[in-house]
This record gives sequence, C-alpha cells and structure tokens, in this order.
Amino acid sequence: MTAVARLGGAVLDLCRVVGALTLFCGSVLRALIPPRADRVETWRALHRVGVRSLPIVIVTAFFAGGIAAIQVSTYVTKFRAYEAVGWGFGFVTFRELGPLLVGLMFSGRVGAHNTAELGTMKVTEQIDALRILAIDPIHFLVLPRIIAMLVMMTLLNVIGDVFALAGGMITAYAMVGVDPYVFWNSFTEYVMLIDFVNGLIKAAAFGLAIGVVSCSFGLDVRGGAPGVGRAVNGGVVVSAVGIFVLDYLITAVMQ
Amino acid sequence: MIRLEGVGKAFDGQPVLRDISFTVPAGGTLGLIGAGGAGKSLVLKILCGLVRPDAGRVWLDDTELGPLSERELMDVRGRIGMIFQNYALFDYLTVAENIGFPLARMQRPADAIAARVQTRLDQVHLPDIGPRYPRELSGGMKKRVCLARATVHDPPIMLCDDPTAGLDPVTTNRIFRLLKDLQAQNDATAIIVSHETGYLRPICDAIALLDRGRLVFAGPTAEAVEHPEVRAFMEGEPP
Amino acid sequence: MAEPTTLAGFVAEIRAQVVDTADVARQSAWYLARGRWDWPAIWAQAHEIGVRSVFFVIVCLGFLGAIINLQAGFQATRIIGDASLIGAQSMPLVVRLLGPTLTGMMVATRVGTGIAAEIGSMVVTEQVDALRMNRAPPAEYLVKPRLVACMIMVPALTTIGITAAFFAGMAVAAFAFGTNPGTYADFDVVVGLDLVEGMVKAAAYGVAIPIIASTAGLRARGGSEGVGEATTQAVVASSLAVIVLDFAISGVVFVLR
Repeated sequence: MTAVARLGGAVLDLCRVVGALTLFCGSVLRALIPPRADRVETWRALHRVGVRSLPIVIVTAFFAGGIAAIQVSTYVTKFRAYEAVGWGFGFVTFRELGPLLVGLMFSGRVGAHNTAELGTMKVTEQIDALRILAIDPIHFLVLPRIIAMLVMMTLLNVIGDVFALAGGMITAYAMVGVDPYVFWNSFTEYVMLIDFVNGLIKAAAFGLAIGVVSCSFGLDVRGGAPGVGRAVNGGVVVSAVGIFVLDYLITAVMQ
Repeated sequence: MIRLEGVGKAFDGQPVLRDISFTVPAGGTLGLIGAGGAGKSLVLKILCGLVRPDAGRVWLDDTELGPLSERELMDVRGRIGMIFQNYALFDYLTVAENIGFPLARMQRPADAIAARVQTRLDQVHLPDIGPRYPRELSGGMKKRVCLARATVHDPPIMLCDDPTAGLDPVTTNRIFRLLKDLQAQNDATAIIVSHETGYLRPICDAIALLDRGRLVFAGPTAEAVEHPEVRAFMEGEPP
Repeated sequence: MAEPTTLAGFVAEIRAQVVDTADVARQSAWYLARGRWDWPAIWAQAHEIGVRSVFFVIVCLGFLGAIINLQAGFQATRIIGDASLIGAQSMPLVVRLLGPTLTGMMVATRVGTGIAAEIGSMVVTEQVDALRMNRAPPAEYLVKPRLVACMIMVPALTTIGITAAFFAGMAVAAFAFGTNPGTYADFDVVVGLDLVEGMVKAAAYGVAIPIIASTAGLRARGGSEGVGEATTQAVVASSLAVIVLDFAISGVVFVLR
C-alpha cells in the first residue's frame, strides 16, 4: 500500500468513527424527548458504576495528589516559597491532573467494561432478543448507562479531590517536610471555588463522553470474542482523545 | 501406553474430577464418553500436562508427568498430537504454516517441512488450501486441517477432543476414517472424546464413561455395551 | 473471572493477579536472557505498538501541551501580567512528568487493551493451549516480542509525545498570549536530570505495560465475556502501574535532586 492510500484509509476511518458517533448521539438525543430512561435500570447502573469505580478512583486520586505534591515541591524548594505549596498543589490537582487521571482511569474501568458488556450482549444476540420484545435498547440499556456515568464521574471527582488532597498533604509532609497546617492554610487561602468547579465541569464532560463513546462502540461490535476485544480497544482510544479535546475546550472557555 | 491413577482436580473448591484411574495399552484406542460438563476435556488436558491434577499420578509410556517442570513437559508434549474442540488453528497463519508449526518449532529445515505438510494435506484430501487462512474454511475443512497439524510430527499418542462436533454425518464419517488411518500409520495410542457412540464402537478397543467427574465404567468395548449405565447413555435414556 | 462481591474476594482477586503477573514477568525474564529471538515477530509488534500509536500519541500529547500552556499562561498574566516565561514554566513539567506519564497512560490504553484482546482471544479459542503443545511457551512466543517492542517503542513514543506537546504549547503561547517562540523555546530550563527522569519513567512503563497486559490476556476465561473482562483488567492494571511507578520514580528523583 502506498503512503497516500494509507493516509486516505486513515482519514476514512476517522470519518467513519466521527459519523457513527454523531448518528449515535442523534438517536440518544431523540430518546431524550420525552425522557424515557428505564428507571430500574438507571438505579442499577448507578449502583454498578459507583461500586465498580470507587476503589480505583480513590487509589488514583491519592497517587495523583502525591505526584502533584512532589512536582510542585520541586518548584517550591527552588524558590523557597513553602507557603505556596498548597496553592500550587490545589491548582494543579483540582483543575488538571485530578480530573484527567481519574477520567482516564474511569474510562478504563467503567467505559471498557461497559463496551465489553454491551458487545457481549450484541454477539450473543441478546440485543436482538430485546428488540423482539419491543424494548428499545437505547431507552433500556444506553440512556441509563450514560446517565450513570455522567452522575458518578461527577460525584467521584469530589471524592477524588478529597483523597488527592490527603495524598498531597502526606507526600509534602513526608518528602519535603511541609507542615500539614501550613499546607492547609496555603491551600484554603489561595485555592478558589472556581478551581474546584472547573474540575467538576471537566469531570462531568468526561463522564458524558465516556458514556456515549463506550455505548456506541459496544453496540457496534461484530464478529465474536475477537470483535469484543477490538471494540473495547477502539472505545478506550476514542474516549481518551475525547477527554483531551474536551479538557482543552473547557480550559480555553473557562477563563 | 497411557495410564491414570486416582486423578482428581478441583476448581475454586469445586471437585470436577474424582479418583479417575484407567490404562490404555500401547496402540490401543479408548473412546471417552459422558454428558457435557462431565470432565472429558479436562482429562485430555491433564494427560498433556496443560492442567496439573490436584491428586493422583499420570504416565505417558514410561514418563510420569507429575514431577516434570513446564520446560520438561514441552518435550513430552512433542510426543502428543492433540485435536482441540474449538479447532485452535492460529488465525494469523496460513493453513500450511499452521500444519507445519510443530515442525517449525522443532527447527526442522524449511523444505522438509513443506514436503511433509503437502503429504498431510493430500492425506486429508485438501491438497490446494495451503496458502489460505483458517477463517476462509468450513467447519469440516478446519477439523481436517487440525487433524493434519496434530499428526504432522508422527506422534505416538493422539488425543482427540470431540473431533466431529457440529459436523454433518457424511463429514463425521470421513473424519473418523481419516483419524483411524493416521493413527494406524504411526501405530499410535489414542483417546477419542465424542458423542458419536455409533461411530466410536467399531473403532475403539475400550470405552470409558464419565459422569459428573466420576468414572462409571472403563473396559473393553464388548463389555461396555453390556454394562447397564453405558448402554443407557448410548441409547440416550435419561438417568 | 466473576466480579468479586465481597472485600475478601476482592483482595483474593488482586492477590491472584499480582502472583500471576510476577510469574509471567519471571518467565519473560528467563526467555529474554536465553530464549529465541524471533525478529520478524518483534518487528511486527514494533509496528503495531509503535508506528500505529504515533498519531494517537501526537493528538493526545499535543492537546495536553496546549492545555498546560493555557493554564500557565492564564495564571501568569493574572499574577505577574507577563506570559513570556510560560515555556520555562511548563517545559520541565512536560519533560519529566506529563510527557512520559500521559504517553504511558495512552500506551496502556491503546496497546494494553490491544495486547490483552489479542492474547485473550487466543486463550478462549484454545490457540494458547495449541502453542503450549508445540514447544511455543506463551512467555517466549507471545510475551517476549511484545515486551521487546514496548521497551524500544515506549521511550520513542514518549520523545515524540514530548515534541508534540512542545510545539502545540508553543503555538498556544504565540497565538493566545503573544509569547515569542524564541523566548518560549528556552532549553536552558530543562536540566539533564529532567531528561533522565522522563526517560527512566518511559523505560519502566515500557517494561510494565506489556507484562501486565499479557498477563491479563493469559488469565482470560470463557468466551467473549472473558475477553472483555481481560481487556478491562489490562487497561486498569497497567494505567495504575503507570501512576504508581510515576509516584515512585518522582519520589526517588526528588530525594536525589
């Protein structure tokens, strides 16, 4: 294959993914008027998503806090500005590192699992069975999952912020010797509500994107067990790109 | 010779095989029958060391498998031809590369491999499909390719896990005939797991019946057909 | 692999995962020292893992570079009223933390799921059993080429990712804040230790990701459900490994500094 043909193939693939996602968003939006998400399924999805991702979000946030504290400390020790460590830490973690790392982990844990689950239902003809029973898979399967991911990602980000703060304070104390009291004061004094809200908006956007992408890839599965594997792969890749693009857009708009 | 003595295996605390003992003499053929989930496939995997039993001892000819390391087991497995239930053809290799794979891993010269592969393809009556990929083949063709790959290195022991699952009667008949021919060619000892009891009876010297992990009967085919539980199973009577 | 429902089951599952990963790592190390070198397979994996991830890494890390410089620029203009130093502020951070770690996360996402899906499919269709029957132990035949390819390709991708972040950041600095590209590209701020830290991280991820993902694939049980579970496990475990390794290496380098 020549380079031109390969480039063309890649562009066509990209168009296919974007087109499929757009059509899928269209059918999800149509299902929203009037909103007809299955209530029982939505509660179950909320429960499953929350339970499944809580441990991984806590661990990720804790380490993300630690990593941010180390990096901020490198600057702080250089300029001997110990009272700024809480501010630098809070700014980096709440706005950027926290939502980004938690979002990527959430995509891996919940998004990938969701694609695999829907994909398995597709290849074992369970989706067709639903259609025969006159149950719309969008109302019954997709909307509850998207709602669950949107809500849970937002809530988990709040919990994640708490654990990131703990991880940052412990690391700053253990490695740089910053008194937790000084850290806390600098943190509460300089970190604004807007930093926290900025992270929260990002988390909600990531949750929505992961929900839409993972459901779309799951329902598109073809070709048995290898097909499920490929769909999970494609889903997490597109979710990751989506997370970065949304992060950029929100950062640019929120100033 | 294949010998099992008091073999047992449990998964997650659930016993799947309990106290299995039988012997297949050199050159003999044993038909292993039983309902789905009785543990037939597991017996074959224990015999080639893919699964290690929790209890009991296993011999292939004079070699006891238990004390061998994974690397020593690889040499033993070179003496076995295994036909897998789900074909287990490598989907990224052509049919010819699949059949030649055991020889290639033994680092035989390429021209010797090619000649041997073509012989086997002719023997399974698929002389022209060497360059094609497994996904382009029908179920019966894939089974014949499996047969060719399993016997390409002339193994003295053959283990066949349901070699005719999901095939039509004509193809089933053809597979069993091929199996018998290839076995006779190497004078191999064989265990055949199958539900086709009608085909098994004439080609097996002995029959063993497994029921939920226990060995109900193991003995010569002539005695087996007289045994009430084996006969009930063969005639499809619910227990 | 059913989803564990109790805390004890959860702990036991993680323990089993760690034990299996250690086992695969030990076997791979053995074959790395002594086994065959299947160069065509290594080449094919290097293409699949490296070349086919380049576009993905450039897009993600490019956006990352833009985001970091937007944040830094907004802060700088708010506090000191001058955004000319944002290159100097952001570049060390990109080189030693965000470049390697986000590239690592992206490789864990794209390559980790790919490896687990491929090996997992081979497990559930008994192809791995067929390999073990034919003197092709999975650690040598499947894991080793992927491991060697990742050890070479993850540092290479990291370098490409850092470059993408650098240029995207430069563009944002120039267009959004009017920072002179010449001022932005102040290479004096990146010290040798930053580069060493970044590359050590990349190399560590290059070893950890293929081993963790291969283990997840080899642990697959059952049909398409098992393959799905394996890919999920691969991306979570290898992403987590990236974060934990980052924490550990950052800590060691901070103490050395």
